[in-house]
Amino acid sequence: MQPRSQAENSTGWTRRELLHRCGMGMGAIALGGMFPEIMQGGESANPLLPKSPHFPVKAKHLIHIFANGGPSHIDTWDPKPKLFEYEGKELPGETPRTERKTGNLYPSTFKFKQHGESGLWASELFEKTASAHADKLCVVRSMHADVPNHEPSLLLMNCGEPRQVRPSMGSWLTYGLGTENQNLPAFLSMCPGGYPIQESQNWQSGFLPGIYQGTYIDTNHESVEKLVEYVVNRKLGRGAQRRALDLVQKLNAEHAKSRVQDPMIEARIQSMELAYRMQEEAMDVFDVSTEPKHILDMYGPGVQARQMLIARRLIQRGVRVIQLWHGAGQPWDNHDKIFEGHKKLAGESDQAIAALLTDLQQHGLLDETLVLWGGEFGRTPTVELPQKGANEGTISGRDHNHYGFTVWLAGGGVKGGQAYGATDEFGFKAVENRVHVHDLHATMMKLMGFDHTKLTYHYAGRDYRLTDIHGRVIQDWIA
Amino acid sequence: MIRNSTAVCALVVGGWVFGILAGKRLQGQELDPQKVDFFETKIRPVLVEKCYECHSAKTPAGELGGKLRLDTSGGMLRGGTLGPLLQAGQGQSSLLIKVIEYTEPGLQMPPDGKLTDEQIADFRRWVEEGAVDPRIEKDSPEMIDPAKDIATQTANHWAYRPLGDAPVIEGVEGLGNDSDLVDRSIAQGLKKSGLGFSPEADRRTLVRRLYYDLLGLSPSLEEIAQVQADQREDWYVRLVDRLLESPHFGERMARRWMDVVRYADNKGYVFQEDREYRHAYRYRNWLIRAFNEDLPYDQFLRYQLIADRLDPQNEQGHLDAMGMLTLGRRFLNNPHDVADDRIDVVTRGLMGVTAACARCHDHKFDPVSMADYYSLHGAFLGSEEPGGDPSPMRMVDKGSQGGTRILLRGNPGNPGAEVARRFMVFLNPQSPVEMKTGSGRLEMAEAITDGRNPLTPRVFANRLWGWLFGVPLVDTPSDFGLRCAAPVQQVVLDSLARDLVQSGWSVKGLVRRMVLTRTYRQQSVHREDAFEIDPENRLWWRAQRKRMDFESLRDSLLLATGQLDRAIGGESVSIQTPPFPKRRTLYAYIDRQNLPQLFRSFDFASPDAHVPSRAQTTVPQQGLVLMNSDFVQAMLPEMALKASGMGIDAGVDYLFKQVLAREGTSEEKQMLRELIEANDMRLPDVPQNQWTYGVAKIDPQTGSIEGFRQLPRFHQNRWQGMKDELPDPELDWALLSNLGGHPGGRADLAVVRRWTAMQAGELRVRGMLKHVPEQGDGVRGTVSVRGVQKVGQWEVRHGESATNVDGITVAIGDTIDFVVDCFGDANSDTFEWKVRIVSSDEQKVRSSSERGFGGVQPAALSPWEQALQALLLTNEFCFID
Repeated sequence: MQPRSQAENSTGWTRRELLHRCGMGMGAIALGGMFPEIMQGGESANPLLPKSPHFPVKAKHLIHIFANGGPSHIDTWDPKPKLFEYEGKELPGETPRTERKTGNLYPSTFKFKQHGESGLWASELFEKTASAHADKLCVVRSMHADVPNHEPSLLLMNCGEPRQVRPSMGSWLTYGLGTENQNLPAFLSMCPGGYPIQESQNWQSGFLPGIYQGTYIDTNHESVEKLVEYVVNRKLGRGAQRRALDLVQKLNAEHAKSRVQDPMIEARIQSMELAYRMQEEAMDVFDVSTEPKHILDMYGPGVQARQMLIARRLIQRGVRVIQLWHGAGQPWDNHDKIFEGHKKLAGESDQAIAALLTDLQQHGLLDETLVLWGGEFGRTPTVELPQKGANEGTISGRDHNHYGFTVWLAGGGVKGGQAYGATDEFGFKAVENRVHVHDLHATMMKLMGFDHTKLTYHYAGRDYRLTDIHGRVIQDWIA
Repeated sequence: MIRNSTAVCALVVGGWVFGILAGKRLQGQELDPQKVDFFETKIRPVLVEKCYECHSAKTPAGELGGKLRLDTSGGMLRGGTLGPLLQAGQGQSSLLIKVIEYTEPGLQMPPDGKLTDEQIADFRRWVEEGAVDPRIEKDSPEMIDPAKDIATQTANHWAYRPLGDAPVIEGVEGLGNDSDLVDRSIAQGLKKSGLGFSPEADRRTLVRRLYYDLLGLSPSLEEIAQVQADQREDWYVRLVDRLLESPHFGERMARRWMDVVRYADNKGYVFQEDREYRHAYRYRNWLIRAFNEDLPYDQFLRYQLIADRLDPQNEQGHLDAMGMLTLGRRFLNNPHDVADDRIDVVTRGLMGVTAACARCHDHKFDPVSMADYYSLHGAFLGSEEPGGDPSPMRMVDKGSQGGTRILLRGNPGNPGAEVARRFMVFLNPQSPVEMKTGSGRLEMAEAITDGRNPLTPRVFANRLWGWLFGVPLVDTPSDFGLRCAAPVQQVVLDSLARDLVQSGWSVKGLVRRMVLTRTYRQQSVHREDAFEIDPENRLWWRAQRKRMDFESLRDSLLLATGQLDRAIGGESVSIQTPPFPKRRTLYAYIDRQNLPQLFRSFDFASPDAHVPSRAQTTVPQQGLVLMNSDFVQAMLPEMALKASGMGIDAGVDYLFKQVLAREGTSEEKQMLRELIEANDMRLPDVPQNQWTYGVAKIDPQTGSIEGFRQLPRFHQNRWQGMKDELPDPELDWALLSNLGGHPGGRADLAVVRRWTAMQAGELRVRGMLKHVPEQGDGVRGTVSVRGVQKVGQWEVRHGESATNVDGITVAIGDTIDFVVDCFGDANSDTFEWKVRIVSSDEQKVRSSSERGFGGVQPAALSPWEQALQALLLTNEFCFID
């Protein structure tokens, strides 16, 4: 993608491109019932029209399952038998500094076993996902980030920069790829019950045009009206709306007669039709009650299940990027009672994640959908010590750990059935094949068809990119 | 960066000094051919093979090892972050040799394997013999020393040059020598391309254009008529002057300025402290006042930068101006990020300099050094915000400071050398402005507003042109750096900038001059001949058609429907919250952290950072807001009622005049009448009221329904009797929810969900009836059409049954009732019954009991409201010719 100048950014097209692309003019558009065809193939000032990436790849969509709060890698995907030997003992050497003070080593109570032909290790917490999909997962055990705090780590994971305002990965991808379904938002962030920490900055468009920002959806709501703002007309039925819109378009056609060669005028005529159609599509996509019983059963009960199923329906309809947050605040942040906490959280999501992967595969969508699971960091293998005002003092939790943690990728051209990299024998620090968040981004961009150094946007005097000046593509993950 | 190989010269212009850093050739012209040969055969091939990957022009940006280039002679000589590489004649002590010999601990190059002994010997000999390097930098533009290149360009860059004197341009094409230089210059450019101005737009168009550009509002029919009736020669000037005196002018300009200074009503993400900037609106009030009173632009800026010195006690109310600096995002109170945000607003916003690039390294493309950046950084870190009276937004100096420290790579934990605090040295390299008073903000403000600083007036004149003409003269309004080519209309820009300074910085004066030009008054109509030659309208052969921005669109909707509250100034209001304030949109509360989708959908400027110009996108979400939002729908009833009271003909007339400020044509009026009359004949078309919820008596044999009455109360998401706690004395246990419900215990208390068809057709019912409790005798469900005809019946006890019916034919207004009665005993009769009414091919869901469920129904839009809304949705309403 060529960098665009500030003025060129306004529509996503350069002025010349815009004129060229819209040169078809009103003459080519008969008003009335012909809009759908034009909408599908037509070109307008809409910056969300589908675009090709730098090189052809399988992945067209991204689902990011965000276990926000920081899931413990040593209780899920990164077994550390050595911890039993050292249970209750000090970590040999110096304990790395994390957010709070931690004490002695604290082994996991969860049973690990190997799954699939690849023999991938996973704990009982993600038994369903692992047993059904081990050979599709690329489990990265050597992730590391910059600091042990939620806010900067969330921004780093989502936007590639821990403090300043930068576009999120979803916004970059939407900017680079547009979207395949103009009747639905291109990039959706779903989180039941409210915002995660750092709120909508996690899906911000930063200096990219606002249209690339993620659309937030509180999946605790079941009615579409509450899910997508303004998509339901509460005071007018479709028939009446259509009649009114027909009148509008007749007046618009008259207005446009003496205003030829104006792409903005033409674009607005089209966008009104898109808006009309979007109502139906959005009503439909969020209504999971039309799914067959065996599908609903496969996902299981609860809001995680519902939002995963909605995600599959959205991907089916061509939505580009979906984030699925576990819940408001930081649910996976178990400073206390981590075993109970993690058991509950994984219990809420394991079946649904397994079902999502199965369902995507059954629909032939897994190959074209890159799936990322993970948090903003992991947790310490040492137990968190009581601290006034910080935890409940039960001495049963783990602190944040940005030195080493795990994420996994699946689908979308990922080489599955592998555990990549390693933490030290206690699981504190990534030591082998270390992967920084920037490297994860660079590789994900590659899987989505982009050279991460070339998808740029000119802003405030220079070209910016998701990985800023960092990032290294890890070929081993790519099938 | 710049070593002894460059010399500093200076060009003095009217006391204001502009620097030229002129480069000298690094080497003598005549090189020993034998030595050149040695380099080419022994040295260059090794460099290419072993070093270029990480140390050359082809190395990806940001990955240049040690900032060292080995593909140019200059790069070889300058060295990288570790200093010079070569000491000619001294093989053994040169860094290059130590590194390739692997004798320097931690620095062994090339990293993937030591050179052969022979190669190392060659390098040593080459250095000892004077390191002759015949590569000429100018061979490739990529190989130019960036610092030297910047220096040369800086000296010649159009935007950094003084404004100078006005050029002489002869009158052309009917424009006399007394006409505006802007017009003469543009006319001359057009003439050179064989073009000319478009004809002047008609009065109606000009009135709408001026109202939009100067006030952000649409004129009424009366206001247009008044101008059209003005017989005086100078009607246009009078109109312009009248609008410049309108208090709405200040509002319009204030909102534009708020984009420049990333205005918001809160701090962004904070951990626990109060997030609100409760007094932010006072800054907005100050802006409105400043623009309305035509506060000179230099003063306008000075108050925003140093009101703590100019009006310390807020006696003239100028202290609130400091909101420009203090109302930014707080970045969890990281002082360096806060300072960076302020530096960005001041440098890009006021001068078109992208200084924030120099936070981590000297600017790669522009003459901004880290020392420049950290001088500004020091000015902000040396200031504090005491809060409270006399203005919560004020900033004051902490005290006097010495130098400031550069933070290496922008890292606060890595302070570098102390540097003298000087303002943007490239502006005045011979005698840079020393920032010595207190924090240095004073000198910063003075340097920015110094009449000899050409950037400040150029940048503002360009912004103003963009606001009024729709497209700025310089494409990058906040980046006038070296990569910004001179605009096609530089003469125009410079004339306006010069005028701004010479007129005593009058903003109104500059606005007035711009809108009085022939250029501004052209038609916006497409011309094929001109389009062929200049498709981008760079030569200004026509005016630019504009689509209303978010604020003007909402304001105009309120105005057209007679709702707008015209009060000037005041606190922020939440425009999306009932009862939907009717204030102008610039008074909308701006939540920086979670800017509502509404604002984003309409290309509102991000309140997170300075915005050079707004995006212009066309997306369906914009249409959804206009069609479906409750705040737009709430604007309709009053005017619709008034119109309907006038009778059909007069009412339609009235709507055209109010909304589009013109008479409708007879065809248009006919269309609107037909819409209203056709809708009058129909049932109100509201999606949710397809379903009603009630009780009735059912004959289980025939399915005939008697005595249907609606359940009176919607409580805790279910329809039921009046009493909160069931059983209700009147309606017993009868209740209906989104999933199912419970019948009452009497024969006349079967619960009925009644669906009314809005269109005719053949339908099917698909559903599942479930008796939930483990006790009781079960329930009976019946589907009855038109209240008379049973089409399906099921009895369910502790289990569930599919309730599918095919072949139901309905006409508009026909009902399908889903009836559940207690089937004997009403104890434990809780049921779930989800039904969907689908088309006969099952491809389309007409309605679902779950989705269609709702409480008290909003009234449908009346036929007149629909007609009014349709006019508001038109392109004519929201485009300005």
